[in-house]
Amino acid sequence: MQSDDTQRKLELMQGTLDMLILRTLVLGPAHGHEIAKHIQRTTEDVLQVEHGSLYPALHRLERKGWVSAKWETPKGGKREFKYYRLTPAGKRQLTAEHSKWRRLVASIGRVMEPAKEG
Amino acid sequence: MGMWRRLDSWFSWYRRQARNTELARELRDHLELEAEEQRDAGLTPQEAASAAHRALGNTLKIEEDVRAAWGLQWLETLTQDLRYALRMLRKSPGFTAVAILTLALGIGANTAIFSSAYSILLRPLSYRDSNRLVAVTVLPPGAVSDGAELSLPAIDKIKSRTRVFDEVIAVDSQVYRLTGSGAPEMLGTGIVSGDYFQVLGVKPLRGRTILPSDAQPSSPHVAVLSYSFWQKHFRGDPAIVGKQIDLVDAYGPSAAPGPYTIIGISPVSFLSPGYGWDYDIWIPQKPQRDDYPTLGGGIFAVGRLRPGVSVEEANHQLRALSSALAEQYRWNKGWELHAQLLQEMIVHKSRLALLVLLGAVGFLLLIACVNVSNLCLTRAWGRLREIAVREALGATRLRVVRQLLTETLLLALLGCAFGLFLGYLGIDVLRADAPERTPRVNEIGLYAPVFWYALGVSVLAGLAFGLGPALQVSARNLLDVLKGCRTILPLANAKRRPARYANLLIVLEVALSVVLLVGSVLMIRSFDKLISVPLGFRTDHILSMSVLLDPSACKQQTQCDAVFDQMLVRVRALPGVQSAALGGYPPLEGGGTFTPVFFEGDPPLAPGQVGPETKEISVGPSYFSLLGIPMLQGRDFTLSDSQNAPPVAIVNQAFARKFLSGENAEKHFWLGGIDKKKHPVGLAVIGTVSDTRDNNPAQAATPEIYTPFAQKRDFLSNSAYLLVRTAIDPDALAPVIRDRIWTVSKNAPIGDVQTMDQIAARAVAEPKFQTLLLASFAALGLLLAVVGIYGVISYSVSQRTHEIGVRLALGAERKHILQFVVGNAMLLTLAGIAIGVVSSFALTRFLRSLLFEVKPTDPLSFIGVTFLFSLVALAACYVPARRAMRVDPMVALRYE
Repeated sequence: MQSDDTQRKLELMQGTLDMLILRTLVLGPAHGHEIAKHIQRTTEDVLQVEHGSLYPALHRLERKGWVSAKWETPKGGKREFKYYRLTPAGKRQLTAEHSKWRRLVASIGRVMEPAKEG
Repeated sequence: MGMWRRLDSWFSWYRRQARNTELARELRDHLELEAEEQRDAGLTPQEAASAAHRALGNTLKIEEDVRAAWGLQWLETLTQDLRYALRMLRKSPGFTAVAILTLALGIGANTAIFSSAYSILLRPLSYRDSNRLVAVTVLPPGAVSDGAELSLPAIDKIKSRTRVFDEVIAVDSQVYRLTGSGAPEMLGTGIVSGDYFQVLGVKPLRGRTILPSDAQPSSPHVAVLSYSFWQKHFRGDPAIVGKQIDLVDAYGPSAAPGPYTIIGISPVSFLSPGYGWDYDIWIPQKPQRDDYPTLGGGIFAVGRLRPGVSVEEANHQLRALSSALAEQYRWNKGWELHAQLLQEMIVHKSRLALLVLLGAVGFLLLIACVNVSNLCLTRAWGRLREIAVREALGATRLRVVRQLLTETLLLALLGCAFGLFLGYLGIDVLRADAPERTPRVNEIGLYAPVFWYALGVSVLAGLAFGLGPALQVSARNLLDVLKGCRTILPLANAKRRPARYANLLIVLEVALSVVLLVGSVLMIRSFDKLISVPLGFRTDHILSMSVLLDPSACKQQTQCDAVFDQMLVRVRALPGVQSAALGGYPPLEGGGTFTPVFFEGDPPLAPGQVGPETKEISVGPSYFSLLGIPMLQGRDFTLSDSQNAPPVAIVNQAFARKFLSGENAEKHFWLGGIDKKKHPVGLAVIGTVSDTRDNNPAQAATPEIYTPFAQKRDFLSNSAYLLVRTAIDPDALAPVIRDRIWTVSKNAPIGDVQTMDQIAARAVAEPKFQTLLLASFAALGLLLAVVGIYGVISYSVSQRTHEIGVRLALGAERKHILQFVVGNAMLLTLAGIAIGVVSSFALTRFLRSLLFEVKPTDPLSFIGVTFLFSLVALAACYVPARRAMRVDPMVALRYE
């Protein structure tokens, strides 16, 4: 167990993946692979998103009505991909998650680095 | 609605299928895109493809997670597991058959016994609002249970002077004689209050039931037939309703039979509440003058409590009424009216035996579970590799346990279905073979609660025998298994968990089986003592029958006696008949009356005080010699001890010891009903006979006094039991004797024709039945336990062929291998026996009141079971141990 952990880069906190997906979709509709790549790139490969965990998460969000999915052909593309886009409910959820996350980070920061905060 | 649901389920299935194909496409896209990227980064196509796969992970797992996200996972898992389980069970039919059969035996026994217990003890009586029905009786001074029946005035008083009952119904049990149509018959007749059927909520099968208007003094005579009598006597002829029959009180003074109109037939299942009387016919009770103000009077009363009134409250008011009546009529002093829930009164005597049997089948099921658990464990060991592969592919432990549990639960349910079928057959056997006087035996059946009980027990059993093995095998070290390491050596190394589990099962199984065996051996020993206890009279070659003379043929006792005497002379003259005698009742049939005994100089009794009593039995000459009861002293009755001769008596030893020794030895004494002035010297004891167990084989003799049949004191006696000793089969003589009786008294009804052997067998039918049931459950338990031990040891030996081969190759002696295997198994068996014996010590005291002259801790039974079980277990493990001993080292080693 221990050796496994150190090999990984950083594991996502439970529930964070949902937020990251929603945040990614703010930029526009995307299919699964694009979402994975986007998260990986923007975090400079620090966050290891297991591609495998992405799809159950996407379907969970779809079931909750926060994203909608449609098979579309990208511009200039030859074949269809399943594109996910944010729904209004998803936008509200993202806002809520975002502010919750902000408060969390701020309070953790106050504990961990009190001098800077003061 | 149904249509829509079908549509909806089809639709959701369709949606699910669509989603599955979509997801597969989505994942395929992902893999392709990722591989493309990797190729762009410079990997070869193969490397790129496998890198993409690595990055994505197990697609099956993703698919499962996605399905879980849609919330249908459990259902799909279940169908998948079920399908798989079915396939696995089909693949090993031997295992499946043995497991299902074992479970079915356990569940079948449980179903049969639980349905009896439920139908008799728990299921409400089949009368309207039966939970509010109470039996009202009167307790003699000092008694706390088993009250006597009431008198009509007492019932009237209860109706008018207490406020706890909505209704009180009454039935008076009488015997009426049916004349006219065919051979004369004596009918068990219930004389009922007008509201009897209405209060019980009985709907007639045909016609109508008795109504309050039928109980008016001027209303015409009507009768309701019981279903069985209607079938037996009128062959179920529906046209009988409305016809008339001639009925007369068989013992009553009025000789003229009156015509009664049949107004209806009772439903098939209807039984009058009470002590198990089977009435052939019911007629209404008409008002009659009965001022005799005692509480007891032979009428069975049932009250319906007002809503919200408890039995305690009813008893409180009844006690108050009893004391008020005692002040008014001093001879009621000390007698107390008493209410008891009707159901409780009917079934309370069966409770203990049923609970004991329920416990026994519970143990049996546990043993069955242990056996199946063993089988499952063995099988799971055989599948270790398969399970390890699944776990390596990402199945969680929970998932594997779930899969294995689905399999065992499926087994349990199949066992349950088959067990219910066996139980159904068992119920038939119970109903047919139950002793005659078992209450509510006809009501035993598979009711819904029985079904739920069986299902619940099966599921519990499935969990019980499945969980252990599932947890055991799913916790194995994957690598060891995959590497082919033989980790499974039950018995070889007690530190290994599966072996320990199997050992535990053996110990448990032995312990359970020992408890069952001890219980049944106690019952068998008790029954053996019961049937070998000397009754004090012979039962072979004796025929007994009741004879009723037409009251119009004998207006006075002397006339009746003359008819009886002539009858005896003619019967004695028949070839094959050795002797014949009259009696009030044959022994063991509950005959005899309790009569007070007065000694010269005794102070008069205070009201409510009960003086010494004795059982009085009226018998005719040669009764004792016929039954082989030794006359210890004095002489037998003769014909000259007649109605007008001085009263004489013969006593048994118990009577002589209690009443005729010490200061009483020389005193005159009288029995209740003998006129002291007319017979100033009292009763003359002309002989002493040896004690008999004529109440009950389990009960030692009580003081008894025999008086001549011809000196009956109470009322005109036109009925008697005729005992005939025969040189040939008594059953064969019965019709000849009957015809001979009819030559003396034309068409006298003759009933209760049975041999003394049959009577004696019936007296022990109940313990016999209980013993038989318990013993068969114990035998089944023993069989299962032996099969279990044999199975475990065989399996362990077969698993260790290699090890044994190595040992033999290294020079171990075959004898030692045998000793080692047998020794290990016997160690476990002895541990189980020890636990079983200790548990039995704790449990057998519940049997105490079922046992006759055997202590619940009877050492002989305990030692016997220990010895027997050790022997059987030794045999069970000797066979596989011999196989172990004969292992050919070369063959065993080549295996590897």
